[in-house]
Amino acid sequence: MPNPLLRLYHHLLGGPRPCPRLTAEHMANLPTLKNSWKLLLGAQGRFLHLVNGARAALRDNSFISMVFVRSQCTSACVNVFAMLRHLREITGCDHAELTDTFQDLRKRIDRLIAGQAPAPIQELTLPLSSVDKSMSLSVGTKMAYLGEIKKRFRELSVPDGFVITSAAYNLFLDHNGLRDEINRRLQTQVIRDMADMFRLSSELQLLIINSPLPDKLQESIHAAYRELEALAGHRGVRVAVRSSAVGEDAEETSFAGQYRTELNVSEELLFTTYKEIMASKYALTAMNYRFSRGLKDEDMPMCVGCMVMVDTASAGVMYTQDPTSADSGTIFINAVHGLAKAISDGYVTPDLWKISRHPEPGIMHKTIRSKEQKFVSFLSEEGVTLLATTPAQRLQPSLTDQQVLELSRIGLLLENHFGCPLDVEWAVNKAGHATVLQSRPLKRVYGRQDAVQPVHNATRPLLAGGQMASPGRATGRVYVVRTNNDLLHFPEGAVLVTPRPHPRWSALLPRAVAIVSECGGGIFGHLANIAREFGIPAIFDVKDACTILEADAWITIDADQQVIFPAMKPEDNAELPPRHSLRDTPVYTTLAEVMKNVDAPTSANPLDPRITPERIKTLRDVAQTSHLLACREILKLSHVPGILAPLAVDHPTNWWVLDLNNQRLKDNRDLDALSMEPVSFTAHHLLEGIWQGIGRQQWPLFANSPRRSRLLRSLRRLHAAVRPLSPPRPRLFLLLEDAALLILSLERAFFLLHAHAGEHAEENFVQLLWQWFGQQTPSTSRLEQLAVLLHEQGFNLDVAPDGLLAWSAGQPSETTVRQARLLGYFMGTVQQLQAPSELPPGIDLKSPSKTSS
Amino acid sequence: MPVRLLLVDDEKGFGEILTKRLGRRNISVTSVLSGKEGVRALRGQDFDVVLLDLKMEDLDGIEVLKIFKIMAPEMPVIILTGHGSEQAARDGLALGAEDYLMKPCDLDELLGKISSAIQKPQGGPHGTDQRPGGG
Repeated sequence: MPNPLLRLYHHLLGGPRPCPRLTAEHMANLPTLKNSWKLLLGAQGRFLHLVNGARAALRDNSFISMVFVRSQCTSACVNVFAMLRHLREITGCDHAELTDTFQDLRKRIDRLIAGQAPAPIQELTLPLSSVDKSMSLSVGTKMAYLGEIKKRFRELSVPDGFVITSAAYNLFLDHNGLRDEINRRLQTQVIRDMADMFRLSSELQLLIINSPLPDKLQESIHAAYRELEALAGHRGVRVAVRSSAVGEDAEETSFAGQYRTELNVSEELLFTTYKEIMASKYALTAMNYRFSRGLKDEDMPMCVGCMVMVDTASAGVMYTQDPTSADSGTIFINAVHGLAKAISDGYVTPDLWKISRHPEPGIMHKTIRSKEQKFVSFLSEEGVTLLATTPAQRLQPSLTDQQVLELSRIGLLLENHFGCPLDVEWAVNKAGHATVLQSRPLKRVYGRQDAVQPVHNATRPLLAGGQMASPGRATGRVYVVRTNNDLLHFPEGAVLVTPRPHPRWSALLPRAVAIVSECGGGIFGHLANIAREFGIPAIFDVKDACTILEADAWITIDADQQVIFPAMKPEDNAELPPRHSLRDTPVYTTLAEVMKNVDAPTSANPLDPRITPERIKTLRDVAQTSHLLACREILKLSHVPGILAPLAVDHPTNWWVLDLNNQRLKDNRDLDALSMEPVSFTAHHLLEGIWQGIGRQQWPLFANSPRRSRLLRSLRRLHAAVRPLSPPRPRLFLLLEDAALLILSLERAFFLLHAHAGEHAEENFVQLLWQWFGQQTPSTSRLEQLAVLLHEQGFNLDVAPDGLLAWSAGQPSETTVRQARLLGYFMGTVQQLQAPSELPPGIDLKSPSKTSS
Repeated sequence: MPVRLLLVDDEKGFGEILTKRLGRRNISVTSVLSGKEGVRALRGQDFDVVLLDLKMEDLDGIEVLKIFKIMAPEMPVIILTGHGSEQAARDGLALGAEDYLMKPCDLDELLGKISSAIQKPQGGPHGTDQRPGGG
């Protein structure tokens, strides 16, 4: 028989239908089926909700932590896994191919979100002399660099010491079950403001400090300490205990001063100090830093270096190049009497030497300042002591010219070895010899290279002078920070004005637009480093800034020119405070990579014509396939004679309802006698919603038929008239508990509208699948028009080659019903040839809720 | 003369380590484990400064602070806070406490607070030896 005739025949007689097999069995299993279906829908709703959340995070560039990424991924996998399980319950098949694909995807996602591989080194402690740069994953970046210097440059002085490795950190966490506990607290605690962050920080730190060190680790540290005593040739060696986190001190993320360093520690307090330094991973500043830099918490095991204290006469910091200028011909050395802590913590304004690098290091410029305090360490005391200097000492240079040149040569040697500009912390002992204490890549931020006119040159500056610590210009309100209490109240977008650039204030940098400090050594010091990383302009050493700058006054600071002007209110300012971007941070990139395996359906209908591996590439595909397979299975019930009820509406086409909520189905096993009464569209909240949408559209009978075929339309009308009740119907509503499914099979398209609107918003969703066939593919411009319309109404839209999915998830029941109504309307619209130009009142989600059609 | 410090904290381990560390800084620490003991200790002798944990079993730290402020209004009190008591710490500041510190506190920071608390009547710590007790 020729093809058109065969089609006509099929249309007239209802076509070759699948045999109503398994239906009696299905009816017998109805309660189990219903339960599995309900659970499957809940899992699907939660999955879509998670996808929605992850999409929003990527789109809005909003705050995301690794905890967020991990929990989203885990939940997404768990929910898809649950969907597969319920699908197996519904169909009784194992769906091995689908399950295998899912397992592959899950493994791929796990690999992406897994932390770094376990440390290859198993030793709990390692002598510093055996460490090199290649071991940074086991000993942390700081100790890897220092070990490298000790190993490669025998002529340079580096203190003896040992490193407590990442294997030790992992052992400590596992021994006390802390890994899960920390993750649990990080995941469950809601951080609304600084006070919440304070609390979480305190809790996590105390958790670590109050946990015991495993015996094995204690023994290993003891043994390493004994070796150190043997090297030093005397008992009771005092050590500097320094953090050396994996990932710390990278060029882009210096973590300068974020973790704790304890100086002059005795054996007695070594274990406590070690735990305190591990705990400082969760210090307020460090947590804030990781969050705002998008760094993964788990990827940063805390290694700790213990080094013999140097009998320091003077100490300081050397930058082998200018961190704020592209000029690479100058070395900067900052120095103070006593320990370098006075510089890094901003206690004093240090002496400064500028040294030309070529052809031989030569001092170009030196500035000797009055250094009123110094840090010293006494053997009789633990820790360090801040002492006032004598008037004679204050203006005494902290280094001789020979020492400055010696340090410069060391700097050049190291820079040459590591191949990048460096930030070197050093000390000169009482015998006058220089020792390298730590070294890290120098982060460089360039200021304005052109000679720009000073801002507001007509206005008299409020303050001028000081030293630029980080280049740039910004406007904001003055907020003076002196105590921890001020930390809690620091407003978003304010200028941080402080007596001293304490590294602790770096916790505020995600919220501050600029920094002004009364003392501190310009580009040196931890807060200056962090300010440059955040791109926040900063001027240090501005005398009386806390007094002259009035709280809440608007100021503009120009760090490049070292001037501060009164400013206008923000609405008058064209320049907005700079925002920090999380793009390209490790967490953001990980989420984006993971989402490639989670989101975006490969096809709108993976079941058509059959499931093939190339159609299932993402978790969305697995979920969508499971959903459709479950639908197909449950729709087999519609083969039971008499189970379908007509929808009691005045409409040119027949619509059918398979109402599994109907009481009569519960007990009635006598399927032959089954006959359902017409169902009103108000019988179910979602049915009502969808119908309100559909009913608003003109539905000429067989609206999908090509216009040219009037004969076919007449025949179909006839067909509909003579076979009003023969199942299954292409226009079928399936109702079950809080869900409604509408299947509409037209010639030019297939629609499947599914909504779930129960009391748990996180399980609710509404999704419209519109699959188009061959020639009926809508034009790009029409698709764009529809996409705009759906996006405006808050729907997600995924367009695949074979169709599109419009969906929304996680909304309360009432909103979901309204969304279902809109999608019903949309469905009625797109089955016509004309795209809607705008939505009628009552359908628009932004207009007030409407209860009747 | 060493600085006399009263430490009121029910966390024994924390108290012991702090006593050890402060002891080496010429600070004589009297460590008690409850608010009631703290009040009793203050009846027996004078202190230059008090470190008070706000979260204790027997008496609420804020109540202890109120009693201390009645018994010795001039004696500076520095609040230590742990889990979730920032609001209490702020209440404490309103009741006349000098400052507050989050546990686990940095020793340098703590020493800074102690020295500025005890030196306040003499015009602040600037330009002087900041070691508590002048050591």
